[in-house]
Amino acid sequence: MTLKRDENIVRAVCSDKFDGMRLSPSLFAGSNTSVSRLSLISLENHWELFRRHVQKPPHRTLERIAEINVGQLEDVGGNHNPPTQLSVEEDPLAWNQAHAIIPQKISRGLANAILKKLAVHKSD
Amino acid sequence: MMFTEQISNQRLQSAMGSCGFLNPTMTPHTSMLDQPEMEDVLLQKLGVRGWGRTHYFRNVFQSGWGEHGNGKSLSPRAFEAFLRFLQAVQFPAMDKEPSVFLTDQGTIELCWEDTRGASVQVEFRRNDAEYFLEHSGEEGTMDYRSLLALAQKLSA
Repeated sequence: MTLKRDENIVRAVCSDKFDGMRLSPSLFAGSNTSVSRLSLISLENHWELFRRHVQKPPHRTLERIAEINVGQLEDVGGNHNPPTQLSVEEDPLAWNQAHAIIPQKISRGLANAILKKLAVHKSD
Repeated sequence: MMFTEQISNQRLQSAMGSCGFLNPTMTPHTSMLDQPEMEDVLLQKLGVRGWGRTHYFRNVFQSGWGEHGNGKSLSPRAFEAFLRFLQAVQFPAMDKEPSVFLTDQGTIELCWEDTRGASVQVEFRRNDAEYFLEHSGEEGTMDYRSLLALAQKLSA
């Protein structure tokens, strides 16, 4: 099922995709991008979830959590040249019932535009 | 993060030998860099942070590292092209040094800003480079025979 525009989603940002200065555009480039729903799991609990299941210390550590609103994501796609219809689809997994995916292929240019709309959270 | 202390010269040389690093038969325009020359290029163009991350990606991120355990190790061909590009490109004199990222596909990304502050990005893949210029919105790919032309195009 497609997520509604008023939902917010998050994506784990590990050390391979963040160097302390910039986020990697490949964070959103490509297809079937994994995200997770804040409506089902709080941001605070996502830190714990991602630390347990996404990061692989010591070499790949969770550095940030990037957040975007689904409607905002759809608008970025629609306003891009060429326009790209983006959606977020439910895709619950055993380790994360809030898991969802952006199925469409996202170009480098569009990924760059998405990065600019992200709210990037740092662990307390 | 400083990774460099963890990586010995011996390990780097071993890794280079095992992956056919800088084999002149791999692609046209290959330049034969020995280890000190390679270190110089990485340090001069990327600074200590980029230098350390590059070595870390080459030597620590093995197959299966990614989000779903399907991340690939850094492609020797992609790294070879990345190094040749670094030799040729001139970055603008800015406060922020370029950033280096490893993708799940085992390719390597280089990102910086031009003199206008707009993002410039290149992803070195196995057989070609994909680039993006935020200023003009231009996206494209170039095969490795045109790598020097790409470096000129993206130079400050």
